[in-house]
Amino acid sequence: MSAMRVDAKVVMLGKESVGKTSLVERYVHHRFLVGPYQNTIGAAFVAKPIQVAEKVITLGIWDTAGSERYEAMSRIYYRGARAAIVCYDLTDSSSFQRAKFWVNELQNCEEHCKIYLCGTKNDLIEADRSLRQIDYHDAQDFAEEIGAQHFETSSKTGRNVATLITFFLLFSILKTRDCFFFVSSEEAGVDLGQKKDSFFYSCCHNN
Amino acid sequence: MKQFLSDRVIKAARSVYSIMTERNPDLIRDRKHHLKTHRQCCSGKELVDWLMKQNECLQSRSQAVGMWQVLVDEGVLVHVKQELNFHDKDAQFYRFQDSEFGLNHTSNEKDSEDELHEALSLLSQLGPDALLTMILRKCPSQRSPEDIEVIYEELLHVKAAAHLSSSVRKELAAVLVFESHSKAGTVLFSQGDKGTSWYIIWKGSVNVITHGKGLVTTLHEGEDFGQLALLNDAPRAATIILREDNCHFLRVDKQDFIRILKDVEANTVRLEEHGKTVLVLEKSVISVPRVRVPWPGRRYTVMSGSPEKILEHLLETVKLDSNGNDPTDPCVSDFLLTHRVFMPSSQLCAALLHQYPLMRMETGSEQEKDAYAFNSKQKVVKLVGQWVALYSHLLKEDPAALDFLEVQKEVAADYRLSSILKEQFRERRRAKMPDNKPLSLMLPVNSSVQDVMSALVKPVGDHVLVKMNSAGAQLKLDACGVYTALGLNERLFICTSSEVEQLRPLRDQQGPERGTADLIEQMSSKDLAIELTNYDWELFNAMHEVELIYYIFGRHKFPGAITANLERFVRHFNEVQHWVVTELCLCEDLVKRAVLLKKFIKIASVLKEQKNLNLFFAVMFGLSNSAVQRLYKTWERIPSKTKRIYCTYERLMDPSRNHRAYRLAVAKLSPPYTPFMPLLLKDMTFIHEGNPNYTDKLVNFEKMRMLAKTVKIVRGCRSQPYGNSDFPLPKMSETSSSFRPDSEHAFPLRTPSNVRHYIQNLKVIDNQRKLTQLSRTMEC
Repeated sequence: MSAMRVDAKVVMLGKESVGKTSLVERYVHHRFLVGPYQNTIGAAFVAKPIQVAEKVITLGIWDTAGSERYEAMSRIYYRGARAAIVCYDLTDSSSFQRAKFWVNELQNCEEHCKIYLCGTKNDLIEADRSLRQIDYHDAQDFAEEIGAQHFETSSKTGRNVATLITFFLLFSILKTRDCFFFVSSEEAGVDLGQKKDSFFYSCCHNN
Repeated sequence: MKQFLSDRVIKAARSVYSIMTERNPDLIRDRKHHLKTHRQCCSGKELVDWLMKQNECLQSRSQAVGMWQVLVDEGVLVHVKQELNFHDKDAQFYRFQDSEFGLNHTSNEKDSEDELHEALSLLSQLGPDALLTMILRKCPSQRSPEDIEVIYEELLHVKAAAHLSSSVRKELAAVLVFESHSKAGTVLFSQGDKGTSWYIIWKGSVNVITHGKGLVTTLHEGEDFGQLALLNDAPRAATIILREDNCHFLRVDKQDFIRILKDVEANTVRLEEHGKTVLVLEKSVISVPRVRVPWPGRRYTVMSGSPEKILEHLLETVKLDSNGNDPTDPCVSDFLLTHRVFMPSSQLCAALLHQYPLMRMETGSEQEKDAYAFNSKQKVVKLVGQWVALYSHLLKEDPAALDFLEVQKEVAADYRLSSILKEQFRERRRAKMPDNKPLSLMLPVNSSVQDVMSALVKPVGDHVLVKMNSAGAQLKLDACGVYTALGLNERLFICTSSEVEQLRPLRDQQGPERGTADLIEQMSSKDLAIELTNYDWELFNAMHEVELIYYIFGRHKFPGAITANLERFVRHFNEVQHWVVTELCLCEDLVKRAVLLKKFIKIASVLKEQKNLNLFFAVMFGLSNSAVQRLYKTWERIPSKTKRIYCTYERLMDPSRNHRAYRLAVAKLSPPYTPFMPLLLKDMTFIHEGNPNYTDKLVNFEKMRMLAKTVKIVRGCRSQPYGNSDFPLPKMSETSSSFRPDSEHAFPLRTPSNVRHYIQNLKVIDNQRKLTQLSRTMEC
């Protein structure tokens, strides 16, 4: 197997069953765990090359699912990560506390890691508003306080999933430029490549 | 980038070569074979032997072969007959291209040891890939069962093969051919050609071009092409052109493709009842000839089915002629381990009873009828026997199961039900009143919030039960299983809802203020490690296999189920890990701290020797904590030999390629050993999250089998009692600890029971922020 170049490492953090794996699945394979999809051992790491403008960027996405009870285990995954997607479940207030824990942890240990706060399972809220336990504005305030981007996503419907990563990509390409450029180039339309251009790998020599 | 890697390999080759010529110059000499003399070369076997000697962390010869293969691929090491594969054989000779690559430039003496170390680490990193490519290059008929296993595992990660069942992948592993092309623009085949093979892209990418439309799409690593022409026996529908230099493909030729893949459906048997599929079986193909098959003849494995139908099928396959110790069909134990996911006990019992009277033939003589009925009954009884043996006292919690077993007792009087009468597990629970008076009470381990509250205050009224961690964060409580939901240094508080805001964590939750370095100093690393392992092993053994299943699916989905033992085991890992950080961060004296650090590395090393990988990682995680890593002054004082050992261990923690380093290391271990639990749980989580429980409304039994397989790893680990095999683990005796001249710091007062007491009552700080602060105050 070749030594594949990974341009940026992204780590998924959050309490168990907030939907980290679904988010990765949604983004990488454009699906929400349906149909026969077997033997994912080895999917702890997923590489996804994406074309943005003329550049191809390979994202290495590390999923910490299954080892949430072992903080130290997640630490070996986020070491050297360029970005962290910290997930919480919009219908579970304790998951938001856990998200705060990880944000704190990242700020202490990985200063250069850009944080994306991501409220998951938005589709549940849309079906029944009373399920919401985390107020949008509270989360937004928290995000501003820590200087993070904040999104509410649904892996089931795909809402905001692409946007989340788009922001991340723009950040990694244009990290030297200012914020305005960010937004304007997003409006200019970024080809996120809905093509078949992803693949599974469990390896990553560059990390 | 590639050039850069090349340079590093050549540099590595240089230092390996210089050490080799210095230490064992006789390895390179003239060799005679079949009347021919080969000048100045080494034998493959000797090279492997030598490398194994240099690097004690190499687990197998194949790893060493991989490392030499890296040099062969690079052209630094060349077979005397220019063969491309490195062979671990006496009569295969290799020559270093010393003049071409300037291997004779020796660096100065002092650095060479470090350089060798670095070189070996680079080679061992690149080795697995080189080995894999080498195996793929071999002619399929020459692949050994181990080779096929390596390819098979690799196929798990290839997208094009991911949807195939394991038996199909195993067959593919045996026939895949490696094909590489060096130049971009090379045409692999053209539109209209006869289709001869199916391709998977291993490395690189290709363009797909058709007449008229031009470039249709680009395919990348892990994707496949060319199957259409094979399936339809039609000409190629497109032209495939290499998009970049140096592309590698895995090729399956038509004949094999037709045999394996086109017949996937033919290998599948669907049983229908009332127009609906109720059971899907797949023919298992045993492609590795040397594997002894305990069930001769054609065999089908259950892929999916309705719960009742799966049970019926399994009962049909139960073997009776054995004495009970036979290797039972793994399918049966897979079923028993996972049945609660898709078939609650009540449903299982009903189905078993249903099987019981129903099994009567309509025709035949009385004698035949009786024989058949007796046979069928025996099968049910045997299955129930295994069920009881597996769940033992857990069934006591299950009224449906108990009722059923009462019935069974009458028909099968030989059941030893005594095992289910084991005492119910109880745990001490502590809850605090707002005035912070600790309260202790004994409640069953699966008590719900309601149970705890009504045991404490009557009436419950306005009171709430709150869980709080050491940082003061209040956490949500699951409705059931209060005890197991408590993490390290977390406590329960009970108060009225208006008092919740005033709750503060207790002092003992914050962890100790003073370290116990002086105490640790008096105990030997070995004694500490022994007691750590004894305790860990005890916790590991207390865990029931099905707890893993409950834990992965979520305990709340199984009424009455407990995962307390597993969670306690998990908590112990975190405790040990924090213990290491806490002690180091509380030891203010630099010299003492360095001694302590060295001691922890030593403890890790003993734990590894004891095959306790779980705690080995716990200690290593503790040492790799940022609060410890930043203590530069302390690390500086560690002897370089110890530091090197630490670095070797650190490589085992490397998560790349899905923790390949660890997986390779553990593959060679024989029981008893304690696996690195977080990874096991992670694997199970991925199996669970990646696969639906039902496919087409039938139980996805392949998923259940995959889960059970992981559970059986734990079973394997525990299949031997600890301490009586090749690693004799002496219970520390008073005499041995006081008269051990070589043991470091052994102190007569430190009796085994003292060490045990210390280990089982570790006080730790779990608040990372606090640990970092402490670390900063000591070394800023």
